[in-house]
Amino acid sequence: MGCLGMVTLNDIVQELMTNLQKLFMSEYVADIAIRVIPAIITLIIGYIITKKVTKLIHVKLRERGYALTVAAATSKLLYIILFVITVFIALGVAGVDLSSAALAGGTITGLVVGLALQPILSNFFAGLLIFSERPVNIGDLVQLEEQLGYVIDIGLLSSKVRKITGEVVRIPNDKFFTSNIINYSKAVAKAFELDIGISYNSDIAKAVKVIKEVINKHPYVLAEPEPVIWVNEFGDNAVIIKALVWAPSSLWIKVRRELLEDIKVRFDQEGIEIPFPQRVVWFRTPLNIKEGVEG
Amino acid sequence: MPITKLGGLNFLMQVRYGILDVGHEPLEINIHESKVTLKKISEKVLRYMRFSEGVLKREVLISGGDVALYPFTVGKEDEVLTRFVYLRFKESVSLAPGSSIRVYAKVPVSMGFYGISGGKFGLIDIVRHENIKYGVYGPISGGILAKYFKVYPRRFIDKVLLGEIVYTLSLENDSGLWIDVSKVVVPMTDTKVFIRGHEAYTEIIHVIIKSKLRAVIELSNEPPINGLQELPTLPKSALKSVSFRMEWGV
Repeated sequence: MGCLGMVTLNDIVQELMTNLQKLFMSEYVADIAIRVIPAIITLIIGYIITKKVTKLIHVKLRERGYALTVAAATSKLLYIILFVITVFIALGVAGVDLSSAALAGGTITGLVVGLALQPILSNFFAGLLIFSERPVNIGDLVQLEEQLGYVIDIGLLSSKVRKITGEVVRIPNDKFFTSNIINYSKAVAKAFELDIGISYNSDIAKAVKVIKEVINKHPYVLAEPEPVIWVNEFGDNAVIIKALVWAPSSLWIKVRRELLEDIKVRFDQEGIEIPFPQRVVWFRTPLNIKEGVEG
Repeated sequence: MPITKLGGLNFLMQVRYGILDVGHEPLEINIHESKVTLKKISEKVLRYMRFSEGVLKREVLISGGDVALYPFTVGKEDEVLTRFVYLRFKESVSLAPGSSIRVYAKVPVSMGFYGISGGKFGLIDIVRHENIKYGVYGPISGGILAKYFKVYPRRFIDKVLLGEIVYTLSLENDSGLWIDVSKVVVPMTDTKVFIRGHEAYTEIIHVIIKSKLRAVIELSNEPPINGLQELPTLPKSALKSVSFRMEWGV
């Protein structure tokens, strides 16, 4: 039992252990360990300090009233600078000659930049442009291609937009410069239209009055510019009343939703009918309708 | 008139700003279509309840300390949207070159209930005033959103009710032209508020009209009348100080 030809399993394990012992006891490995372990510790401490400092800077900037975008951009830039410094210190601790490392790194970087990092760099520079030109800010409601949502983060390479349906979309920064973007938050207010159909039997003046009351009661419907309400069209099935309403840019979706709901509730209370599509059919020949006949 | 009711005794008294005296009987305050009840449930614990149209909207247990009531000029929700108040005059004020006039405008103000202990305040609840509206001053793109009030500019302060604040405006025509003033926009967050009993006033706000399109708003730090007490430093957000120039007309 336990024999494998002439060599036993025990022999193999012993041989392995002896070789490992030699390896770890060798000066070479000991030297590496002496340099690498402090370098790793330096990296960890540097990382922790970098995180703490950038977080503190972010909080302090916000406390002093700076915009979220400015605070985020500053702390992110500082994070990168501090982390690069940490890496260089760690390399120095590990005994790496930084001048030769920088030269070698520079050459390699040049090659990589030229060949592979073009899209990443284009996003990086787009990120810097976003921070300086500020086409969008954190918290802005934007529409970028098919994505409508709020900007929740602007990174150096990509930004995050939370769609109004809740999903978070990561968007490369260069999209903000190469695509058509609608920033609803750039203007302080946004106008939107409501089309409200009432039946031909309903009292138009009463309906307009009710709509006006509902609109004026809503706190986020702006008093200036004033809302405008008018009879816009005699439709196939309804008289169409149109309302042009202004609301704060960040709230217009909520305001629109609430107004439609409130108008329906008030119409129900006031007996104003919102009609469904219907057709009046004329028969060329009179129909004979028999009453009271079964079967 | 907002009144307090102690227990079921219908004891009428005017509520005053400052620390509220909650005895063994519950204290009821009717204000801005809300009813606030403060009840002592043990020696050091109070129960705060706010009802609107009979529905309980907020309930807080307060342990230790007192409860105080103060005007609350900037609501948390307002801050997100704006730091300004837009006073639109129902009748404009015409000013000859070099002339000035002091006018008063009464507007509703929200009420803040605070817990106080050892000189430290904690916001418990805000009772918002009704008919809150906002308006844009200036162009849609680049203008500012402001809390909006349509007011009569009055020459004298008449009766001030709890839940109202008086804006004191000193309109000064420095333009060399006849000027019709129909609106004033004031930074809310930096404007000092003074109180006396149940009355609330802003400091004197100088509106120095430089041209038909431009006015400079300067806050004086002075109370409009004698005998007022400055509102204590209450918790507010870390907003930057603001100064303001009305650049799109008066």
